Amino acid sequence: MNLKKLIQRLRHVSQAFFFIFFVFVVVGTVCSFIIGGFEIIEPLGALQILIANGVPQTSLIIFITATAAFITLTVILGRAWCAWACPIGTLTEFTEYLIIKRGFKPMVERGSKTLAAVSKDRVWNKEVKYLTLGAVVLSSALTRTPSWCSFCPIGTICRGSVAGTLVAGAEMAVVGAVLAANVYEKRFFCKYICPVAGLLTLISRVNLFIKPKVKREECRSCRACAVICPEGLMVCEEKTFAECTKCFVCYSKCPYNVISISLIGRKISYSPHHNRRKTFQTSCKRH
Amino acid sequence: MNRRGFILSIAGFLMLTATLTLTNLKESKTLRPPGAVGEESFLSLCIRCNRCADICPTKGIKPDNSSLFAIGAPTLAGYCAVYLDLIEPTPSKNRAFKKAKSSAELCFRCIAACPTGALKRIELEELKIGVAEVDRSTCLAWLYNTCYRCVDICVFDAVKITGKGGVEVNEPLCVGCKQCEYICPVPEKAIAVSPPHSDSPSKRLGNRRLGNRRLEYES
Repeated sequence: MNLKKLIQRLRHVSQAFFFIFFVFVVVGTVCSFIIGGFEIIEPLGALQILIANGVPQTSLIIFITATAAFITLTVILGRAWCAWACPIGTLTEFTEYLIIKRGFKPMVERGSKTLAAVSKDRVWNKEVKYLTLGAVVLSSALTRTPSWCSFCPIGTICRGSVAGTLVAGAEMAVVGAVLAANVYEKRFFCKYICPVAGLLTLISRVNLFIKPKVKREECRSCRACAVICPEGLMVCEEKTFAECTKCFVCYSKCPYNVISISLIGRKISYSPHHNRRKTFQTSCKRH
Repeated sequence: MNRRGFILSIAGFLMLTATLTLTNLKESKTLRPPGAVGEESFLSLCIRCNRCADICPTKGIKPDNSSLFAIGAPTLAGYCAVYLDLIEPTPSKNRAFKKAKSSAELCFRCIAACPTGALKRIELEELKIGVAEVDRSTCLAWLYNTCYRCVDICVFDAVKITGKGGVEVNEPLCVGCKQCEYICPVPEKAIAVSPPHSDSPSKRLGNRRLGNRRLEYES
């Protein structure tokens, strides 16, 4: 098994492990849990508490360190949480797998569109998740309740085990809707709506490590990466990779094998367009 | 982004805000786990992580799915052990336990597990989950002068036998641990615990702010 398959296998094993860990094993949910004596609080929950109630009425040191732990992980690993651990991400990818296995294609990718057209035809804007984040913050301030927490599909999945079954209450409708949205576009919820992803993206703007690197001279600008990438990033033209979930799918599936992973990635310089076209033409002539 | 997209996203933003606000506005009336600091500040502090539900030794705490409001916040659906020895209460065990009560170890694991202080560290004297009420039309003690299981199981001596052979709850002594409700043999539970305070659920927005400030004053 080569490294490209191995890394995806590893990711799926990690996803399965964390799914079982969060849904069945751990005391608490993703929002707040203890792992090896370390308290961890998910930053969106902490932010909502701060907005809704001001100062939490518990030992502040634990609250701050627990939130800082998650934020530090995000600064170091970027949005790796979304692709390697998030239970909803795991379920989303599983439904995606089922959809493709049954011979369906996500609605955006249907028809005789070319790959470049798919990435251009996207109606939804990825900035929408900042709007969701804003709406959550605003309604938290208005109602003085962590208002997203009641709806959060991630929390719902984790809480489900407490209620005895995975199907508990009306909140499961939200999870159903999230999974059903995959029929329209893969990872629709994570890409466009999830406020947790929005917050993590804001934090991971300062992330420096583990980024996809494109070999400029070999890239043929086929733009398949925009469809391959679960987050819809055009890897060959992306500069900051704040939205990158470190899933390495681009590395595994690039048709020309030009994407590698750089561990300490400075901001990748974007080569001017005509340069690339020239190399493309020369490579065409050679063949 | 074109104009249509802009208007659509602003509309979506407002709609989501409205949905989230409206669904969190109404106060739900359920029993909260021990140590909950008043419904208003409890709901503003609880991040619905359900660590209290996971750690509860009696599995009595469950996420509240009874209404559309405050989904996922924990509620005391089963019973609270209060003492570690009473995780599986029985009338005879509790009667024997009453003598050793002063030196017994308190449970309160849910309070220790809470990451945000929605459940606050309290003394046993401050514990007030709710108040039990007896339904005289179904209670076996009031109907046939039998049963008295609730009297035996209550370690706080809050349930007392009255002159006529019925049972009554002494409200100041009752902590609302729901053990009497758990043991009650009547299918529809002749003794049931309801939340301690019954403020009007309207005017939540204004009340919230006042409630929080009042709480800060007291502490």
